[in-house]
Amino acid sequence: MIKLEAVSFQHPNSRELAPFHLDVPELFIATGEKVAIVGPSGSGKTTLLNLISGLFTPSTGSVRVLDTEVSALPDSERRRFRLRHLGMVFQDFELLDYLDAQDNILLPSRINSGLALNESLRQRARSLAEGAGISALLKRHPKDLSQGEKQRVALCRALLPQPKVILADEATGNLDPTNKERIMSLLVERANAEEATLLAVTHDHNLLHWFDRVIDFEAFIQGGSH
Amino acid sequence: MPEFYLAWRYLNFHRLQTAVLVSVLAIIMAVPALLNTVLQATESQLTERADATPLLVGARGSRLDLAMSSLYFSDDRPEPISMVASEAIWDSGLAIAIPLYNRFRVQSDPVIGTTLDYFRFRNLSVDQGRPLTVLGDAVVGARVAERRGLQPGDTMITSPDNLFDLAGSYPLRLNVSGILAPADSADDDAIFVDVKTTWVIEGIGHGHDDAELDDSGQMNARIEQFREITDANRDTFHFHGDPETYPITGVIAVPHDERSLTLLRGRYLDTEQAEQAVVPSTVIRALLDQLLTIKRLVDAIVLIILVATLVSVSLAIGLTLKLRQKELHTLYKLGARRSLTARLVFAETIIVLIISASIATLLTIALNPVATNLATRLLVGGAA
Repeated sequence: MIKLEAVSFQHPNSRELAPFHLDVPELFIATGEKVAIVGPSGSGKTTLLNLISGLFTPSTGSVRVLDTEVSALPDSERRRFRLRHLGMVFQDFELLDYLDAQDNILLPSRINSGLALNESLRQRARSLAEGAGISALLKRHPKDLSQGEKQRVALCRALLPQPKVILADEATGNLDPTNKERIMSLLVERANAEEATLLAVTHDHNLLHWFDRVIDFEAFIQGGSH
Repeated sequence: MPEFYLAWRYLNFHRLQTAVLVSVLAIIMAVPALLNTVLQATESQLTERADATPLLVGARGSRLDLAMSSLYFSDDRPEPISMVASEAIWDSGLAIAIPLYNRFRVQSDPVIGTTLDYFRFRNLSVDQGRPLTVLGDAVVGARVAERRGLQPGDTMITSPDNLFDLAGSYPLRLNVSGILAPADSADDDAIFVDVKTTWVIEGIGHGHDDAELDDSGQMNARIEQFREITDANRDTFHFHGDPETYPITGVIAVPHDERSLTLLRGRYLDTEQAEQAVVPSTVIRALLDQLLTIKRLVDAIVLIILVATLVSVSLAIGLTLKLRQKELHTLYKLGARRSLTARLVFAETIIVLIISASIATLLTIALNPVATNLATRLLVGGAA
């Protein structure tokens, strides 16, 4: 479950030249729901994901995710919450070029002592890679992978801690149509398997059939609650 | 310790730039250590031999040339003195006199004319073959024998003084009679002959066939000098002139006691005299003081280079961090603490320093034998 109430956010680095302001009166996404957010660039879609993930904190209002008021947590707690309950997929994959695919998948567990990097986690990584069709590529570095393969690695990394909420920011933006469908299929399949909530920002209207609900963000922030 | 894992993977992935950084740091770390090794070894080698030599007598002039020529057989030789100087020391009854004549070479190796007393004085023993016995014999230092692959029974030819000086010395074939046991000193790099053999090389002594009358009853002017001393021709070798005037470059004087030393030194105080007496340890310590000044200068230069390198490395790391902002932000988004950036930089710096220090240590150990002899070789012109 994701719930935003009377959220207002002003980007700290944009006050002087191009003030960015976002108001979200109310947004509710039920557990297990798959929601797509569409809208023009600069409308605040990515900011919304960052508010939900705790990377940004709202100026006013509250952000609740899985019954936790994320916006009220201190930075270290937000970090821990993000790590344990959220899976994030980015448009440009954000893989570390000096780690191979397997280590990129295991990265969240390596950089957090809270997540024990044990054999069962490694087994889960291998299993996810197999499900994503990249088990033969685990020793390759990102530079030796295609765009689609990179995104599948990034997806495995996001799904490794069995997140209850998956946030995808233009996850298919850099992919060809075949890979877009493949990644979306994988994303929805894993979300269903884990009974996770999926919130995805996308510009691609051809992919909207994968979602339970579509929010036109521009209309949404102008029109109030959704 | 995720920072060390990530740092290692990063450095390993960017091997080339890591290798460049590590190499630069390793060299900068190794240079002062090697310099120190060179100077310590030099000091030890120079002082040990100087301390073991109580007094040197040679031509008045550079005390350093006299000491370096007589102790380390350097190329910078003092003016020659005559053999009478050695005889005078013997006649004084104050010391044993060991003449040295350091003028000739077999290629780069010095040929030292001396007497059997020298081997006793330096505790040199013959490892293979026999000691100097007859004119033309040569006893070879351990390193020279190893370098040239010499065995007793082999021969070697002395190098001419000057190819264009017809009046200069001519090559003489020397017979290797023995190989000295290693002494870990300048003696290992020298070829020893009897002082009379050096006078033969000099041309003061020579051997040739008897002159014969030709068919017209006149003496044949074509008398060929022997360039090799053999059992067959040894008896024909003879010297011309007064033996007391024959040249040597120095005399090692071994006084019987402290009083004899003082008395002997007193005999050379007159500055009008052609010879001077030198206590080698005093000369060598003055040289080492100069080396120490040079070392301080080099240390200062190395320190400046070190500071400049550290500044450059800091700038490079700072620039790298700028370029890696996206990567560091990704780590934060994935749940890393904000402090991971600083810890990552720290870990990378530590790993680079550890590798550099290890390579610097190996480099220092590997080059240690070379460095040990380097300064002495430079000081004595390749004859140490």
